[in-house]
Amino acid sequence: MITNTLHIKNELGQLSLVASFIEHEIETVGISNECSMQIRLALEEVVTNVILYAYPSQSGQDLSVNVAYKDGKLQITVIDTGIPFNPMEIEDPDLTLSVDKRPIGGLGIFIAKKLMNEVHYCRTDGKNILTMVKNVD
Amino acid sequence: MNIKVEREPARTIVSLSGQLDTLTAVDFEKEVSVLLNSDEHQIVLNCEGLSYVSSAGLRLLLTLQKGMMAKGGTLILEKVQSPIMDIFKITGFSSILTIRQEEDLNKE
Repeated sequence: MITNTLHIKNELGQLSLVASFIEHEIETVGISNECSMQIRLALEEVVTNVILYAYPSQSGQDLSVNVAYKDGKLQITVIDTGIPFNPMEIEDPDLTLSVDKRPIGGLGIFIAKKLMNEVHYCRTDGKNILTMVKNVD
Repeated sequence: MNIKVEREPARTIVSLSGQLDTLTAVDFEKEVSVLLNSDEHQIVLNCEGLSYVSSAGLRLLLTLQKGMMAKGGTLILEKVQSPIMDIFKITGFSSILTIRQEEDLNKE
């Protein structure tokens, strides 16, 4: 079992830290290229969402990304102490709409849900805890 | 992320390479705005070197597509690599963008 945690602030500039952190973890575990892009992407979407919306008009707030690997499953947990937000309650976008009717945006969480094998949310002790699992075998 | 723009008489070719993510989308957004405010009517987006696209990038592709349609122009994506194509399929972008792949080009 490998487990590693990154602590960052709610600033978009910190996304580059998240990218190098997850790349390093992916390399350590030895995950294939296509799968690794999907994991990176899902994490970018979830973390971007927290940075942009969890702490309205408050800077310097904390969030953490934990990665654990065991038995062919990579588990990523993103924790923040911002306003309660359950991504699982967000309705999926309507993919059948024509280009002029498709709204701009609203795809990030949907992409994360599609790319990971499992996504769970819970609110505990004032924290949003989002857990995503990718089967990497 | 690199953006290369070549203006030809009949069309403008924009080549994207590297990663189009939340951070690099800021640069591409500027280019999208320039393209939409110019009188370009045919834009070819060469995606050969594009290895990663997040929702921030998709948002700009949709903005560009909508903007080109609004001014009666066209946007064509070329040489989309398979990991990017997967993201287009998952999000339904494969049916709202005009994508011309190598195999289509060979038929011409």
